Amino acid sequence: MTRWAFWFLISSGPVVACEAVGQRAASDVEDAPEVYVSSEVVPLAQPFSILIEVCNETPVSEILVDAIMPAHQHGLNYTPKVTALDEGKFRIDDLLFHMPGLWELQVDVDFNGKLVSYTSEIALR
Amino acid sequence: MRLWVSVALVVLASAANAEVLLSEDEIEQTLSFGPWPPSLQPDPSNRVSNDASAIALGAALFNDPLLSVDGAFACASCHDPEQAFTTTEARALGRVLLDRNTPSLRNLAGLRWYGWGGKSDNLWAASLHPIIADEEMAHSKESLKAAISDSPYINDFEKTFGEIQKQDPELVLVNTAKALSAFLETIITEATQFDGFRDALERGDFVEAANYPEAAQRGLQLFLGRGNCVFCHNGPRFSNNEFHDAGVPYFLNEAEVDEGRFGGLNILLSSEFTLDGDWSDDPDKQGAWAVRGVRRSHSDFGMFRTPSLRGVAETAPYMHNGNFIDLEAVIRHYSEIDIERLHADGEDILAKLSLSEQEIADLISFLVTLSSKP
Ligand code: HEC
Ligand code: HEC
Repeated sequence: MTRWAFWFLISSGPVVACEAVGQRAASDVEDAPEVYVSSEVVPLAQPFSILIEVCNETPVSEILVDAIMPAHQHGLNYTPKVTALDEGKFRIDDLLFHMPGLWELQVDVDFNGKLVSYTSEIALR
Repeated sequence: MRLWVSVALVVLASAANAEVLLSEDEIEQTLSFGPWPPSLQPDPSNRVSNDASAIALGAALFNDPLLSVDGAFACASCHDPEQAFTTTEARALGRVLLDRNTPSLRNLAGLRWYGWGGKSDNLWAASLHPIIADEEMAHSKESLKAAISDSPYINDFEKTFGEIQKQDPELVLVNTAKALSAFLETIITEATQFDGFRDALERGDFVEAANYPEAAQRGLQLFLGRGNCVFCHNGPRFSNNEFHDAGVPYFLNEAEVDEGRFGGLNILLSSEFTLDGDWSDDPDKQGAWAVRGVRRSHSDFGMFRTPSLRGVAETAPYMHNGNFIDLEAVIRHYSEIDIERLHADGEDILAKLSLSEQEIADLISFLVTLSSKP
């Protein structure tokens, strides 16, 4: 129905010990556990949901999700709702990208007190 | 026979002259402005949405001064059905001169926000505010209940909502607003010349699409491209339904400004008439995620809801305060905008476009095709 194309810019690297689907999110931290983001086609200016999976031996129970538009210096108009599913999987609802262009999804994961930040770029048109 | 042949040749010749100017990418973007009209579901928060008798009652009440405490105005006094559900005044004249321009009430079903500052998240709440606003219809809940009880509408009201004497005055107010909302949901603009073009592109019928004037096509290209208009005016309604600073002066007088979204959120977040509240008829509270999750920000100050551009040529003057008398003035504003003076910080989208006279005319030609009246 919607025609907004999107893609994620991903960091390369082999998939280890995790059957996660979707695109791998990037992190500046070396050897950071893998995080995957998957979604249906992202609609413009309408709410949508994504799934995030954190591949770690001890499953994490909490993540923080936000997004910004780097070119326009603004973020989301609504706070996304994060629901923990089982085994390091999370469902994110109420995401809404209100403008076309490049969005940067930001995921902060708490690995036993060590916070690692991930980003995933989504181009919406 | 000979006549037929020459007619056919003329058609072919004119079709060969006209062409579709859009690139593949532009065509793809153009398709996202449709289809029109959109398919709409009844409003789950309003149990009389789509109900024929409620719609008829709402239509009658909309046109009746009964809804103001002293019979001074009807909704239709400001939202005149003969004038695309608005009037030509820059700012609405209620009991006093109001701060804002009267919006056209077309194509309102299913939006996320209502009002220039988004003070309502549903159409019945947006229909309720003017009934009790002191500067507008100035009813109290009690005076409204008495007025409806004594009116010729009492039978229709009770048929739809049950016995009025058993209803709290507040319930009568909400029910009245829900009948008005059921009516407003039915006001939808027709498909336009632009939609004919868009649908022809979708079918791959370039001969038909080429009938769309070239000036309008060039205007559309600017709208999608250098003009950046599509950043905010997108989707089938040509609006993202969010709040932006389009650089319109927002001083009410020397000392006061129109707070825009900032003030809208203050009203919304203290209102009992939201999709998250008890007056919603939807047990699942669909749509309530927006009022629950909406973020407040310093830059809400002086931001206004992006208006739909469907039928825009019929609703001058423009902007939240009616600041511009016609479409040309709006386009010249975007062309010459002084970005230093944008009050909402940080939104790096609008830029001085310095459009040529030809480009200004092209953008207007495009906007005019979003109306069914030529
Ligand atoms: C005195 C003129 C006036 C009267 C009378 C009036 N309105 Fe309005 N209406 C306005 C103005 C001005 C606004 C914009 C208000 C704002 O954004 O703060 C508006 C906004 C609205 C909106 C929101 C539209 C949108 O695009 O979000 C709805 C719905 C509405 N009015 C319905 C009604 C109904 C129903 C009545 C009768 C009960 C009514 N109005 C009476 C002037 C009027
Ligand atoms: C940053 C988002 C944004 C961009 C980009 C933008 N607009 Fe707007 N537009 C708005 C907002 C917000 C308003 C209402 C502003 C106000 O009332 O203060 C508006 C108002 C209008 C109106 C008046 C509609 C009415 O009913 O009053 C027209 C016409 C219009 N824009 C056309 C355009 C065109 C053409 C372009 C491109 C040159 C454009 N807009 C670019 C957000 C935007």
